[in-house]
Amino acid sequence: MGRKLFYDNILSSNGRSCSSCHNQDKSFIVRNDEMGLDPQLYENIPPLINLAWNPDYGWSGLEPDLDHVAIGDFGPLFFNSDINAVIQRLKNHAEYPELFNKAFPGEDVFKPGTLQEKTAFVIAQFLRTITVANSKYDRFIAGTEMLTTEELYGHDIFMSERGDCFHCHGSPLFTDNRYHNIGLDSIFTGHNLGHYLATGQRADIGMFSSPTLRNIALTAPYMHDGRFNTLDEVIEHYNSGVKKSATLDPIMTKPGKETGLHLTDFEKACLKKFLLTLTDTTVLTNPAYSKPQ
Amino acid sequence: MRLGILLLMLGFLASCHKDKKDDHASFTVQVEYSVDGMPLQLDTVKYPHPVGYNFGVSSLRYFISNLEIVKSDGSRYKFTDAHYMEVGAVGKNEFTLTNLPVGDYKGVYFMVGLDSNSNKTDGLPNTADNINMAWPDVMGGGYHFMKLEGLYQDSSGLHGYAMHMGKTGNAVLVQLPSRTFSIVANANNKLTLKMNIAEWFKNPYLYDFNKDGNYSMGDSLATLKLKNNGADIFNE
Repeated sequence: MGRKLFYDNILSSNGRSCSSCHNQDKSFIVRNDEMGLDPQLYENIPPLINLAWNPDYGWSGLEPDLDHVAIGDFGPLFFNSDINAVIQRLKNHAEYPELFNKAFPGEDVFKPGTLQEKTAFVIAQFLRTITVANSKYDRFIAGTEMLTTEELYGHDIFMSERGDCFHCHGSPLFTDNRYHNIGLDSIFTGHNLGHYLATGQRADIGMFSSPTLRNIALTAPYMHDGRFNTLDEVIEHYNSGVKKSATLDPIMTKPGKETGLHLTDFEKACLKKFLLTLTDTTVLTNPAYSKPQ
Repeated sequence: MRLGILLLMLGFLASCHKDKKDDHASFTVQVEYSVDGMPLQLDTVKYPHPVGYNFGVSSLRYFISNLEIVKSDGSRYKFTDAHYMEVGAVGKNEFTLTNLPVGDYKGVYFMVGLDSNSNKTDGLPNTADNINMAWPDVMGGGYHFMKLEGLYQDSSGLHGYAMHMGKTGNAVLVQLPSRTFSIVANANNKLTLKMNIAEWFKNPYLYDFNKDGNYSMGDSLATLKLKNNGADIFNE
């Protein structure tokens, strides 16, 4: 039912469904600049893949619980739902009353507040089913496909101290689901305060959740505010653009690498080639995640 | 008559069962942290480092494995399991063992780190915590034994440090032969181990981030110094 609702504009009063913004062919990301929202104020939504392993959600960890994340989407910026009208449409629908009754037997879900909560829950359950583990890298690990020499060299840079990427973006999730300050800025204001906004701890200023690098080739722009449009820019940040601050992650302060990795052009190119092997295109068309027929 | 014998047997069995229940109990090992006597508060830079500058801890994650305890009658009980520990994480600074013989014990031995059986790729259960400790295959595979990270402040400013240890053979061997404790039936038995984090950086070797490296992972000499210093981090 969560999947059915995800693709159904019955939940909104403006014709939108979740899928209006979260497109499967883009791993369900949302680019807020394309939605008319200022990315400085509204964080882009990372790909909705492998979320079942997340301990919390959002770049700053402001959402502790996937089951409630979608409640906000009924609001004016997104669905602008007239909840009573939505409830009437659901009650009059040929299938939803029975589907809701099966999911929540004996409960009256068709009242304001409860409807949003239950809907958000079933949609979260659908999101949890979206898993990505069929990239070239996965086939390499399984022994069924070989990486090219350059991809392999990039892999070695990623997985060794040359690049140190594995410390925050380790296999198999390519995220450690923790928060780090990677030196994007040295002064932090507004939503750049990051995880501090969720915890109130000064030690969390400037820290953001490590996003998964799976399908990273498909999910530009990059970083919490979308400041980098290409993987080349991302790699160059780690290579030479690290800015110091009190909460800079200790991993970023290796001797000789205080301002970055200082990779050669060839190493940067190989690293990028490795990142491209993390692309799993099957998720973009898998009918298990598509609109039900 | 037969009923009498039956009752007698039942009574005998009941008392045997009662004895068996009281012979063994559970036992929780928990770790507390300090820095040379000061309770550890994460994400500060206020503790005097043995070398002289101030330092603090933002993260400490490690494995305890191969716990061995010695009963006063000389019998030894060893548990090879690895337990992930994380300072500041609720429930992740203790582990419980069950079915231990009740009695008095003298002697606690364990590893900070893993043995060769566990220290290989997929050697531990694939939990999120264990996976985040993975040591890359290209660097030998297995897991980090310890990640101790934080900041220190010297005359040139604020810097980071990351003491990562790994590779089979580098596990710290902790020996507490005089440590006494008791396991009592039907009780919440607890053994508290106290880690003095400052000891990672002294005794026998005065570890200076500026000279010995603020990043130890690929540095076998730095790792050796930490391993040797680590032997007495739980001494009281």
